[in-house]
Amino acid sequence: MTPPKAFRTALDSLRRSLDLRRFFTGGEAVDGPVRLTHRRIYILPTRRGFGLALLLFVQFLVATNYNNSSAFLLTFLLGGIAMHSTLYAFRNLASLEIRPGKAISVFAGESAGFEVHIDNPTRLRRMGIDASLRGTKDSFPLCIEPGSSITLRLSVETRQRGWLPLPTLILATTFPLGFFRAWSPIRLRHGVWVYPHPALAGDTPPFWARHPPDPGEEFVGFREYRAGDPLRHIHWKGVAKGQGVHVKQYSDHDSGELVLDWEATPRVDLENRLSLLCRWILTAEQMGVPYGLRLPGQAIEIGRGNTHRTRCLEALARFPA
Amino acid sequence: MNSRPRSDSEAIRHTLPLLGTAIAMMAVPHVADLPWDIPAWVCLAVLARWAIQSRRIPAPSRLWLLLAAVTGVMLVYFHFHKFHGREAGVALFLVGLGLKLLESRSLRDLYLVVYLTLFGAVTHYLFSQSIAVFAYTLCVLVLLVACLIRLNGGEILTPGTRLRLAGGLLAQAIPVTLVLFLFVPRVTGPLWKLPQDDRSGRTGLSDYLEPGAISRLGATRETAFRVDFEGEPPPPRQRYWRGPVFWHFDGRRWTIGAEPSHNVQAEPARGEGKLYRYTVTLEPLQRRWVFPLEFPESVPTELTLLRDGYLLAAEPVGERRRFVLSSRPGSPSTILPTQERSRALQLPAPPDPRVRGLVTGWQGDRSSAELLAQRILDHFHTLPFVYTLRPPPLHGDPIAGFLFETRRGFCEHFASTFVYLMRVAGIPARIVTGYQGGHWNPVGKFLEIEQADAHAWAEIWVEGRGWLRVDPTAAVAPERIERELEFAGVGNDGAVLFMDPVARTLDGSQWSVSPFLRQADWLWSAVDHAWTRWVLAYGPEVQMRFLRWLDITGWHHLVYWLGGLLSGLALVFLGFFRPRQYLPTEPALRLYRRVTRRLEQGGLVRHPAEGMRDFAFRVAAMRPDLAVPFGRFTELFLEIRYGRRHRADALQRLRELAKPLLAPGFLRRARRTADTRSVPDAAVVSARSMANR
Repeated sequence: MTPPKAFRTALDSLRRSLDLRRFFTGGEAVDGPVRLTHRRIYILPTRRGFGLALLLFVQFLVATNYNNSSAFLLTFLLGGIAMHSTLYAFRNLASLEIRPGKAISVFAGESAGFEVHIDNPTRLRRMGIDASLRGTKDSFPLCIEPGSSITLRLSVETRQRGWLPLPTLILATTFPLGFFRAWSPIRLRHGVWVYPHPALAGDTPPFWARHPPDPGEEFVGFREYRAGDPLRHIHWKGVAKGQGVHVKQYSDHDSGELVLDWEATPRVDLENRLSLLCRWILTAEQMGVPYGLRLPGQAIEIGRGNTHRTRCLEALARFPA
Repeated sequence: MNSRPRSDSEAIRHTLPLLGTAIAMMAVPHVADLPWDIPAWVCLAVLARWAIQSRRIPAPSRLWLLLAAVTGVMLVYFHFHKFHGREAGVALFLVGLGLKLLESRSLRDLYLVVYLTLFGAVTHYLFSQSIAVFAYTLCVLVLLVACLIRLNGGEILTPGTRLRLAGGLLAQAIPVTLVLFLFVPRVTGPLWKLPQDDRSGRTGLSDYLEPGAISRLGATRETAFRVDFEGEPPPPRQRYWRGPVFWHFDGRRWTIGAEPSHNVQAEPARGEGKLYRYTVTLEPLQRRWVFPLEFPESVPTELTLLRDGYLLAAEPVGERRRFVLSSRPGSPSTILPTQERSRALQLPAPPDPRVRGLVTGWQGDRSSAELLAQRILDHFHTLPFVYTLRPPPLHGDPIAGFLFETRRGFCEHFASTFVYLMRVAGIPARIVTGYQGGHWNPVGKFLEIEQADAHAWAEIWVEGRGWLRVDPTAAVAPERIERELEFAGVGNDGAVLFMDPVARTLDGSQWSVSPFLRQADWLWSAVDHAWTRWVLAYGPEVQMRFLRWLDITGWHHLVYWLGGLLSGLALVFLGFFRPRQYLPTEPALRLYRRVTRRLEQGGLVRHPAEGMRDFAFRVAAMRPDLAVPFGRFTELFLEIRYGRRHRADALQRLRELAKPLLAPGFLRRARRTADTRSVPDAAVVSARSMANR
């Protein structure tokens, strides 16, 4: 007999809320913007807070021993201030809104850059906030003025190709007194494709072994620059003379057939073959030669330009998917 | 990017001046209780630490620190020859604080220094619990909190803002503090006893009376005790606060005579007259006496009522204590046991012939005790007896010397001579000491009795009526009262009042100080008394009574109360603390933000890139009921904000359009009416297509 659905959902949500990992990983990833509320902000005493507890205990003992009302009062006042500082710490994070910004894809081995925007839609100035990515040591001290927003530029070292999700962003504060640390782990559905690390520049595509690109090809004429045209075809002298950006056109016989084929790579391990393909794509793009890509199970037709390049590189990054 | 350690050291550098100030402020008032060089040592450490920070001197090596430690400890030993006990312990603690400050480098060290300074503030209370000391330590606390704010990211705040924030934190913590103060259970009695902390004696009444030995009576303004009355206070002539009673005279000195244990009275006798209920707040006089109004009727269990009509505490009162008492002015006892009669007639030796002659002359007509007493008072009045606080010393027989030679004295002289004469005449008499009068504090509505109000009077036994109070000092002719600086005048009822330089009379009619000073004096006294009454007196017994009044009988009750009150307070504050929405200053934009914020609560969120008109269309599609009000609002807003011209009253109209949208519960109400009207699907579709355009 299966339990009724309502019961199961209740059980699920209970399990989710009892899962303490969310204190650090931030639960399920969300698209954002994320608004920080009491459900997302956690607070615990710091080591200094425990130190304070010890001090309060000793003061309490002294006050009890001497039956000293002033000492009791000061002890309780200090305790009250510490308790109250939790509200301040909470308030320092509450109602902040976090949304993902730009992300720039990189090759494995470079650092990927993420942008995250933090808005402060309240009248309260936020200070003493530390932003950090889970698993890294770097932290960014933040101060956000009322009604303004800031942009965090986070970088993550990459090792291997594939989809790199933004690690959990942790906003933490010990403001105002350092006895308590309030923090909020935020997992944004935000990430980049990490392309394979390109092989060394010397590895030219096999095509050029047969048809080395000949810079002395027949010059046909000029046309206006379009995004994606190879830089080396730009008529730089004309640009320098202020005639606008024009591109030299050559008669491109036989240039439509460059297909970068998986089968053409040496039969080494997968990553190295992808690296080589990656290098070929870059070289072809640099040379301004239109190219296609053929991988086991998929093929990308001939093309040129940034979009095409990105499409090809992404295919490498997500291979074999 | 990781710059934690550097920013830490920077924070430490910027925090040090404030922290140093707080430490010095904490340490300096200790000069009142400790040798001056201990606080000076701490201040020196503060200065040295500051010099190290600003690189005027190098950071101390281990050797230097060791040297400093040895010096400090030796300093303590030099003064106290021990390291325990209150003074020596606090001194050692201060020295340790200075050392920790000297060697502090990391943020962690700095926190420890802050904690030690907080504890140092508490050590002040071991010496004085006055409200002034408490207020002072609060200032130290605010400074320390400001230091912590600086260390935790408050670097962008100005020092003034930090202090204000610290003060605000303190003020907001008061409700929680009160709850904790009232409800956290107190334990009776000390957990440990330090080797006897010395309790140096203070001024006050003594346990013997020796007229002639004192040639100058120091009238101090120190408060002896304060009295709160339930209802009206007694008239001035009844304000006699009874203390030790002296029976035995050895020729020079009057003493209590019998052991107080012989003196216990099992049950207070019922007197007659109006009943006064009152609370005595006794200053720490380091004596066992408690001074009731004549004559005590109900007495708390911790006090013993003696047959002589005064009260004894179990041990010397070393801190401010409060006692709830009631009294009636009438004399309680009407029977004089033989043993007491003989004690009340005791004479050290046959009296001087001149004294005997004087008494025989008065007794000639076989008059009653009252008549004889009147004769003696007349004698003081008609002959040139002078009331003075600076009497000449008496050699030989003090009674004859005072009666026939000097004729100058204060209450002790008059009272003892009077009692002696009565005894010579065979009438039982005794000396009562205590306080007389007191002045009314109109601010705090209580009576304040000072050491200067100390007084001695006489009691004679009258058959059938009991002990009768006679105040011989009052008989001195007013013109022969030496108007010294310390003296104020004669009260309404003729009683001579012992007054100090700030002279007062009971009805406050003859003031020699400015009204402002008098007001300030009253106010301060009232504040101090309230502090004692409401804060310092709140001990285990009072707490027990308070909890019983709330019907809290068990631990679990107490936990419920504490938890409930604290979480209630937290909720209230959380409500106040929700950060409020930032609103632009431009009124139309402000209004638009408020309206969209309201729509967001209903799940209608404008995307950052969405145009305002597009949003209005989308709202219309999702909530047709809102299509008209929000659409009109948006159009007018766009006109005001981006249109070329708009009418002067446009903003007013915009406000009117916003009003229904902002009204509480409008979203729900609008939906309900829309549901009942059942908007045709076509309308929704058309709205959608509009939105998609």
